[in-house]
Amino acid sequence: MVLSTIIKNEWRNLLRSRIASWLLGILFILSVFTIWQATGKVKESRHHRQESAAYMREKFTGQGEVNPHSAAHYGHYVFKPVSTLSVLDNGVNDFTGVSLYLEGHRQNEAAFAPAQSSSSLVRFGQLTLSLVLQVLLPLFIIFICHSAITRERETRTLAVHLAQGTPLRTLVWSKTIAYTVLWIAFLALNLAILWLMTRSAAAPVSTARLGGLWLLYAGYYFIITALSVLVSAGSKSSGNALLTLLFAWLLCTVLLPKVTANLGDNLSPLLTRTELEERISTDKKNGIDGHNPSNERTQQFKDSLIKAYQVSSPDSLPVNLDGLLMQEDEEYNNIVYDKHFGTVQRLIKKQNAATAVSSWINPFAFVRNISMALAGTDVYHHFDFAGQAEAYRRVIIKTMNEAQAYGGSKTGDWEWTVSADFWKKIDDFSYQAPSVGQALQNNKTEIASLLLWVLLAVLLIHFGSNRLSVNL
Amino acid sequence: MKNIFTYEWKLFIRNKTMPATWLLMFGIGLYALYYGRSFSDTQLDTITKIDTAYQARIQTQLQRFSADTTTKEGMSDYRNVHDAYMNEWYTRPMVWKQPEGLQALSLGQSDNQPFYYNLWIYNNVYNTRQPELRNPDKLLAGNFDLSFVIIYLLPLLIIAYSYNVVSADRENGLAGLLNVQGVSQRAIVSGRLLFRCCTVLVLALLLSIIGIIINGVAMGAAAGWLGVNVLYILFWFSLVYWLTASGQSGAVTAVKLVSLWVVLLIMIPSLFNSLQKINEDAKMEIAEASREYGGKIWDMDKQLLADTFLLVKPEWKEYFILKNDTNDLRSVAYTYFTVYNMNRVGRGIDSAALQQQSRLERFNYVNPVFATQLLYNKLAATELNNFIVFREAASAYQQQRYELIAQKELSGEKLTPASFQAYPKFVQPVTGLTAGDWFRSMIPVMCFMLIALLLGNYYWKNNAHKK
Repeated sequence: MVLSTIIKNEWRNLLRSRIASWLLGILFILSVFTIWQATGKVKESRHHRQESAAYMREKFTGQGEVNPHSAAHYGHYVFKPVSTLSVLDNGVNDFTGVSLYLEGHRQNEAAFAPAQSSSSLVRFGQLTLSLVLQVLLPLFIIFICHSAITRERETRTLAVHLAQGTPLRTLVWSKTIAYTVLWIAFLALNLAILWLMTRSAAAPVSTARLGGLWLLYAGYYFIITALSVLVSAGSKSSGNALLTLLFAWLLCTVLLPKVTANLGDNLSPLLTRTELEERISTDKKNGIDGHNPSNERTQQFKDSLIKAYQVSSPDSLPVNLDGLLMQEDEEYNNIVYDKHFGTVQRLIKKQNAATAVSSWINPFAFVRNISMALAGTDVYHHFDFAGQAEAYRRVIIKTMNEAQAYGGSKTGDWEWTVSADFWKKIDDFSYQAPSVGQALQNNKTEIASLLLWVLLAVLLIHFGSNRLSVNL
Repeated sequence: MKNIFTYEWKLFIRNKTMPATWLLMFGIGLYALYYGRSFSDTQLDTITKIDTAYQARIQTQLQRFSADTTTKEGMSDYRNVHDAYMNEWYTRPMVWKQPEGLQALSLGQSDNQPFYYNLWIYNNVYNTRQPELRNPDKLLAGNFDLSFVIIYLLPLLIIAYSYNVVSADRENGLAGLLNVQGVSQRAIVSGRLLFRCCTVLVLALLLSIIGIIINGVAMGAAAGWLGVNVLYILFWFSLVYWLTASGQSGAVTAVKLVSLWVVLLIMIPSLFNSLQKINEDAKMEIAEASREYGGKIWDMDKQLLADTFLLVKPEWKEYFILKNDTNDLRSVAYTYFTVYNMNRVGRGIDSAALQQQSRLERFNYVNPVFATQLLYNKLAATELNNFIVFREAASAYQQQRYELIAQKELSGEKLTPASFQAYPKFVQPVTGLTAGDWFRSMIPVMCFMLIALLLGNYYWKNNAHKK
């Protein structure tokens, strides 16, 4: 029997099965519901943040004639834009802050994570399309594919296939292809609906990212289908195959993700907030090398200014010393913050490496991480936003300090103000999301394991199928 | 029944898979206890460091009351320590939420909420923008505590033990023999389920008792915890009793049970979570309160600010008459209004979050797993409401200190060692559950259990002839 005949036959059988049609129908309704519901949420969230950002910008540019240093203390708020693809995968969004307070002297982190206003229900996760695609559809694949070969064995048709000269490998290939094509079609349909529903969004879905997600999930379904059919081919009964696959599903989707995340946490524990603040404070005070106290730094800077301007004392400087000192302090603090926040980010990356490495044994790990990266909702996108917001903070604080220094005020004159239109000259914050290539930079291990899993599945079917015991 | 138990016991011992999975789950449970304990230990360690540093600051301040005023530095210390406001700046009072013993068993939201606050007057508990450092990926994955093992993994053990409780006899050819002997299959299955239920109960209770002992949990909370264990396990066995009553093959029953597990543990809770509304406007309001009020109030005309302040605090008028230093007036009024506004907004946000939690609890009748998790967390004082109560208490304590300091500042009263030591102490709010609360929380689980048992009985009666 040729490959195409088996594929068509398999599709026919599946369509005839009322349970399978019902389950697939329910999954489809569920996925459309999640897209519809998440689209509404994303729209609402985006609207709020855009409104808030515009309001804060208005406040910032409309603060009028104020002392620039007072304005640095009043600060400014920027808001993390909502990724349209969070309709598909909300990633870590519930656990990361949505706004960042930019002020003089200190670097803050994004605050007000939604999970902080929620009960522990938030720990059960959200019913999103990613949950359907990563967890529920694979379960459905297992329910359908566990009996792909055992059914043939139990109904004695396997012997007929083999007698007709169809090798077990062809049978396994045909069934794998038949089912994978169905899941990919289901996936394409869902992504098309998502694209249609978010077409009018302020930030339309990136085709490259959507294409990447399609490829990712297609590969994932191929792996699960191939393994399910192979387990079916190697099992004595459908029951055995089902129980083996269910155990693997639970292990991969429920147990391992939690175990690896906790293991990462144990292996590379983060600093406590007090430790971090102490270290920052010590470095600010004693210098980053511990031998450069802040008062000495200040004196050296004053001396360098006196020399540069060729004056006898700081009071004779033609510029406002306060502004220059504050900027000098900012520059030093920036080095301190880069050092310590860099350490925190490196530790988080190290913790996440445990999950990334687990993708060699757990396909769910790579699909979860790459999906979040492509949807722009992983922790690295959050770091990217925080980095860009911090760069913006440094620009506005420098602008304010320079206005204080060179704007025409005298040292010690804290009542001096800039003109009301000064604030309008400072550009607004605009977050630029990384390209697909940049977004996937942190997921090299996961991409490698995806490719390896696909290769492994192909090799197992090609070279392993015929070696399986036929057990007629 | 005795024969069934003896048979089941022999089967349990002879079958290598069952004891192995039991031991594996026991090992997983021990890891969960270790994980929870290490989390609590880290918190306790942080608290010790905070407390040590705080006590050291208090001692330093007390010593400054007798500072050597012949030196410039000593003079400055002496002046500052007698000034209530400056003294507060140097003291930087800290409060923390002492972890309950059960926290190590059910971490709840404790990794997602601040558990200590620096109550320096200008800080605000509702605007503590930066709680402990956490990895968002780890928060997403959740904690591997004992409540996770009981809620997520024990039902899987129950399914693995019981999915073939009816079909195994048929598949082994024993069903016919048992029928010939005239033994009721329902009685046999009930006996078997009871035995298997006991093995899972022993596991859950053993792990819980170990956790209770090593974490020094109070008797009442321990009893509440153990009671939840028993009911939750009985709830799952009642579902097994219902779904095995149809007498279908083991594989079909396993599929049904796993599907039910997916629905109860993944789909229903995640659906309710997706439907909850997070009000981003509220967060915007606190950002606004922090940025806007601060600037506006500070830039107000000093006289206008003082007059406005006296409208809300007329009892402080005498201090204002005494005080000539307008900077002090401005400082006190500024702090009052800023703190007042931030607290107003913050309490509003917390109150909305509590209302949301209470709305969600109404749906626990269709979300029994969350009802169980919620009760575990409440017993361990790690639920959102516990942190909100702590936050409110911290805010009230800060307000109490502020009033005292502001009065001293405005009246010109010098702080003395005695009055400093007589400052009020922070009292940890009590958020314990009553037996009635416990019972009400478990009603959804009990209802589910009852329905499953009734359905099971119904199917056993109607399908008796098929088996």
